[in-house]
Amino acid sequence: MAAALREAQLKAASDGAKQFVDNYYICLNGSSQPLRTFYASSNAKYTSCAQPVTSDITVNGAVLTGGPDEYESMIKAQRQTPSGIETKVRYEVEGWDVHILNPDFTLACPENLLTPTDPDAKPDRRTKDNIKASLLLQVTGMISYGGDKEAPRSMFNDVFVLVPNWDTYVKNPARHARKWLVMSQNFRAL
Amino acid sequence: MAPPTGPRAGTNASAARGKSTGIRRPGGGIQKQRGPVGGRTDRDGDVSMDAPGGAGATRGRKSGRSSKISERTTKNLLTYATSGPSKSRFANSVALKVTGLDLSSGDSKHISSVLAFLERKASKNLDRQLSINKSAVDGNSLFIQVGKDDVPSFLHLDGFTYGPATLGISESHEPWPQRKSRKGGLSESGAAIKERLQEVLFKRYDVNTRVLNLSALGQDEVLQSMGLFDAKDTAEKAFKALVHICNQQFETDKAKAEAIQGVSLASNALSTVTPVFDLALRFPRLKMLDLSNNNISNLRQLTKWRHYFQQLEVLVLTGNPIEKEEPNYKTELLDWFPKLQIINGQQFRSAQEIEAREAASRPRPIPQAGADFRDSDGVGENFIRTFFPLFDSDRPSLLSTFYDEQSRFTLSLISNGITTSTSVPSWQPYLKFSRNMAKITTDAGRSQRLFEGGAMIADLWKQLPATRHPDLTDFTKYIIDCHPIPGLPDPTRQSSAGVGGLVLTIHGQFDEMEPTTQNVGMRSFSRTLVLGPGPPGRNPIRVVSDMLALRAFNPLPGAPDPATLPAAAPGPVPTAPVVDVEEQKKQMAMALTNRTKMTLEYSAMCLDGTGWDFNMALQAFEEKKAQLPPDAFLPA
Repeated sequence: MAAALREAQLKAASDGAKQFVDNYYICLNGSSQPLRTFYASSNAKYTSCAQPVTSDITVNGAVLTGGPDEYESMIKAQRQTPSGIETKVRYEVEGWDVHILNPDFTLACPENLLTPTDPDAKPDRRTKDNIKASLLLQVTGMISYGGDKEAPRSMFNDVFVLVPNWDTYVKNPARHARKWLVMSQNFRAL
Repeated sequence: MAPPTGPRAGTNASAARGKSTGIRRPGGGIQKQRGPVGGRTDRDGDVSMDAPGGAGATRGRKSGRSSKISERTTKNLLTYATSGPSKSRFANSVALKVTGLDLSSGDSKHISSVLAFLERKASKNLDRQLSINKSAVDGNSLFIQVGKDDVPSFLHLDGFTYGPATLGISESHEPWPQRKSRKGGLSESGAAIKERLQEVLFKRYDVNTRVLNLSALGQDEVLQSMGLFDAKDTAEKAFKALVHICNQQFETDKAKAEAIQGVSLASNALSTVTPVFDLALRFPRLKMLDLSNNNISNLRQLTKWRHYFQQLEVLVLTGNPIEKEEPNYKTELLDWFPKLQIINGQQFRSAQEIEAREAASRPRPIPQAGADFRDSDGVGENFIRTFFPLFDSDRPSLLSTFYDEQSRFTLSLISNGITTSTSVPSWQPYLKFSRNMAKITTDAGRSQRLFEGGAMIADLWKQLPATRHPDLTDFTKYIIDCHPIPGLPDPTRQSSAGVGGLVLTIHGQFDEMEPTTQNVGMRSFSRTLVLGPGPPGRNPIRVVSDMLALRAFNPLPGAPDPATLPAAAPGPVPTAPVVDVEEQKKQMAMALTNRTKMTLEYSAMCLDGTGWDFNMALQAFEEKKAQLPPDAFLPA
């Protein structure tokens, strides 16, 4: 059954990462959703546990002490032209890849979920959808600065360590709650 | 884009008839006999039950001719109706070949009259009118398809004279001539016209100024001799053909924009740009446009071009009535064409002003802040110093040192990237291993392309092309970020919360040689490595995950501040491979040839001049390439 568990974990990682990639860049391209909902530092379980976790965000080499909100304001400022007009900046994903980093991730995990994943257990719904793992996600894409065809473009590379949102590991999780949260991010425009 | 309607058989004919019917199918001698087939509908949409022929069909201006054609169609319809559908035309018909005619003019009118002649003569002394189902021209042979029963009547015409020609008619056993395909070909006369137009273009192109001079086309002797500018609509078609042929000379839009930077349409008696509108579609990146000495009287005559020519810098409109009739037109034009600097030789704004204005309308990218290298005790720095030299020279020992049964490696191709290089080496060696999950969407496919454990990774790395990463001290070629993360798997299984490690992200480039073809090329990469503590008794550092994203080469954004990068002391580079200097030079020259298409000799000369620095040589090439003689390049 270990193989089945592995397949289930890989699938959960793939599906989770895909959902994250789809939603995250829509948000970056200017949806009304606050960016912080994607990050572990906005989740009480991570911020108030024994070893508090804050999301480590680096953008083009600068460490953002202000966290996701600082990144969001940078993204908003980026859309402004020097003359103060709001334009488009589009992040377009060209490729991504995900690894399971730690298949038994326990940081900030509530007590009741701490029973280690039994490799011989049947991959029931819980293990299928809610693997307790951290993920390494690398996204590559293109940014176009401006909405027109002549807009300057550059490549980007965005690396995330995603961790489970323990709040979704309950019977009736809040709707729209993100399953995976960003613990670390390293973004580069190339 | 409508096909060019100029250089092909039949143009003259349709023009000569006066009003042309617009776009007709190109390239064929085949003329299906058409008429009011399929019944006509009346005002209410009901099908008219009258037989489509006779008086009903003699509408339109060419009543005489169309009655002839419609009679033939009527016959066809009757035959069709009486002998049942589908088979009659094919099973009961025979192809005949008519020789002895001069059909080289490609004149469709001429062919029509030949067909009418054959029908009339074959029907002589018969109580019914015979008809030809379809016809086709192949060279000087005319193929006709007639009803099986009518064959003797047509064969009877063998030896008849038609004008100066003596007709030969026989049953044809050759295959029915195929319609010339739209792509491949033009009829013979079409090809000849095209060739002559090409000559005209060649004569009118100035290599030095990169200007294509299409001025005073009506006075061009060659074009005049071809009769292309006799009538207004032929002139327009001829212009379209010229522009189209010119457009065909270039493989890429970039090459086109590079070669043709200006076009002169001076002295063409243009009162509006409508007839020459195509220029905007074919050459959207023109920098110079000369419309002097035409008849343009106001801005309305130019509006068609308004949203085109966004790169236009110089415009000449002298000698047009617009100068008097709409004195403020220049202000308006500066608004239309954002890069326009000079109108009629007078500079209205500078390139800097335009640049500044454009920059002001662009978003401001988040600035680059150098490297974020939060290392712990030099672990990350030492790792990188070992990693790249070993990856290039000795992958097995790299694997046995840092990778274990739980290490993971994947690679992804980002095939759609921005690149400065003209020749991107083939992705073939990586293609089947690429786990770009935007492209590989099945669970099985994704699972297959995940390489877990040193043995599997070793097997893959053996199949990947050899690489050469630049020296780590070259800060312009690397951006390396590093920061700690918690929660990695503990190989000792003591800490349930996991252990701390490092995330290293390296953006850079490497030279590559493909093993089977020996092709050398350069690629850009982003590689993320997660490092954790090794298990007891093994190397203290292990690779948890190794993710490699490859894309076409593109230089990194401005060199980061060297102060924030690891110091440049020679690291513990083990067993540097012994390299034959001459061999290395040869490979470098080959690599340069591969990139630049210069000959090996010129590549070597170029490299010699820059102290065998590949990138400097490449830069030198980019600067000097315009001045190089043609024999510096490999034959195309």
